[in-house]
Amino acid sequence: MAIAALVAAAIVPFVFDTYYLSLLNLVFIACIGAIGINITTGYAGQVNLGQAGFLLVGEFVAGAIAIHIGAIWANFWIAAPAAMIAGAAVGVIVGWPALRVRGLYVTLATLAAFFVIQYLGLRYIEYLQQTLKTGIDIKLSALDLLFMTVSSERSWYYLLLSVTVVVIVAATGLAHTKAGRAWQALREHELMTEVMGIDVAHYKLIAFAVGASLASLAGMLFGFYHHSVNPEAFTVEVSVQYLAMIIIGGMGSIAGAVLGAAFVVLIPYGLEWVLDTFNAPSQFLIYFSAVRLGVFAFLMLIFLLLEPEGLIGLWERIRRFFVLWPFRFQPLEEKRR
Amino acid sequence: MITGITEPSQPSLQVADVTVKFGGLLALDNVTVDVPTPYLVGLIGPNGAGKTTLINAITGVAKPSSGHVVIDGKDVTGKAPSQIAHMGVARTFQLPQAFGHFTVVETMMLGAHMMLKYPWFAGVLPFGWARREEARVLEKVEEVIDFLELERYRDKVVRTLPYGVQKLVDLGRALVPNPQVLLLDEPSTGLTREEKENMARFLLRLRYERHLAMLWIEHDLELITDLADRLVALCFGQVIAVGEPKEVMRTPEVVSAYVGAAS
Repeated sequence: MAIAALVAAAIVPFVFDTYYLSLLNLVFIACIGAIGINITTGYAGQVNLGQAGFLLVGEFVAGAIAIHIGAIWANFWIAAPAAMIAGAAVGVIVGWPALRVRGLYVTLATLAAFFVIQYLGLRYIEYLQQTLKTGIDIKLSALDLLFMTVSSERSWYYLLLSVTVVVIVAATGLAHTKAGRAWQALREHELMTEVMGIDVAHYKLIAFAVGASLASLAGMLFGFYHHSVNPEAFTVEVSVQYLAMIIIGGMGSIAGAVLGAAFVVLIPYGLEWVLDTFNAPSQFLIYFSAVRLGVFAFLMLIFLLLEPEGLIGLWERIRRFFVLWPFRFQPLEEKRR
Repeated sequence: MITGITEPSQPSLQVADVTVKFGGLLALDNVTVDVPTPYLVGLIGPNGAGKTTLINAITGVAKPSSGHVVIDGKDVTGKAPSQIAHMGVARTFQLPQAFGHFTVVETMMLGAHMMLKYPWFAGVLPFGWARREEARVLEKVEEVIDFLELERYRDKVVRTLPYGVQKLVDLGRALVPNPQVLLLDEPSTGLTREEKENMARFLLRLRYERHLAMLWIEHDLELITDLADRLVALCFGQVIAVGEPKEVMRTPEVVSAYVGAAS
């Protein structure tokens, strides 16, 4: 099953044109970030509104490597660990208040951290523009792998696909071993978790570090993918979008994060396609961005009200329906194995 | 003061003159309780007597303002709850549903956290150190599942199970890391007669086969009088009676605390 999916994924670039490939690339980047926030928020229960800030950290790492150290070092094998370490460090700092406060206050702390990172980022850009005379657009060189340069849409597709698969495997591994169980336990009840001999503070910080390092990895890839360092791309709205991905996809599920990321990234393009196909009058296109945000908000409400377990919960229900058909429930005999 | 234990040499759990205050409220007032190793000590008392506070003080959740908690000869007063858990103290919870989204096996693996020696990040690999450790600990978990006769619920999500089974799963979770001292917070409350007898059977097996020191909070006085080796009666944070269960039940202070006789 997994192998079939991988083979299918490998031949995708030969079937679809670059437009669809670029969409998939955006989905992959979002997947990495969504899996990250899913660990902090979905598993460990620390609602994080600063994911855009962590993405920004990664983009700055990309910028710092490509601009200060030199394009020759703009190598994936250097940039990826650098971005992840920087992200983890920032994540630990941002997660620190979560050891003292709970719930909404943690969320506020992450939001505040986002504004601090954004402010620092804008000052850094100003500095680059003034001292290094980089111009308004700060261009990044192409990302280098050891044996090739990642420049075409197709090569990006393969790189991002591989990174996403590795991240999915690693995150699934974490979720099913001691860290994942500790995160879910502390999300449900911190004191009970502590009494079981689990150092809650330790695992909270780890959850922030892992979540932020994945976001930073995504941000680094995003920077090189777009060949630019642009802090204005990462607004509070991006943080909300990442939160939306795991709410729509299903909290505390890696597959849910992947589905949610694909859904949130593709929805605007899907709407555009619908408007195009039905030859919607031009004023619709003018109000398009407003329509997009409205649809987005509406979908989030629908999911919160009707399917709190998200797309993955929906999928489970559909699967159960077909597996059990023609019954509604598992037959009693089978229960008594 | 507690006296009169002769059989075991050294009590596994000693609570000595512990006082816990919540603001101006004296939740525990110079409470002294000994739980020797193969003993099942019942802790009774009306609501608000401080029974759960005593367990919280032992596990480090509530900080005593004076007095000592000694486990296996080591003073653990003021240590963090997770450190005290590492000393071999486990507890069950009054309401076991908190971790209800886990399956039975997952719940027990969560309880086995302390036994897993690999660093958390080893879990990213689908093979190697972490997986070997998990497999090793899973064997212990299966033993506990066998012991508690939970095989048929092994892969079921805990919150979908009957309440009595949830209580057993919670007991299993506490048992997995091989504790020396087991604190039971109302293990039989809310169970049917049949489930209570089942639970009591397991607790007695633990006392006679695994030689655990157990402190058992119970509201079913008949049950606890039958099963406990000793009883400790708490009322308004003070120990009002200690000793042989039948004698404790006859003590005028205990009778008046429960029946509410005019004092």
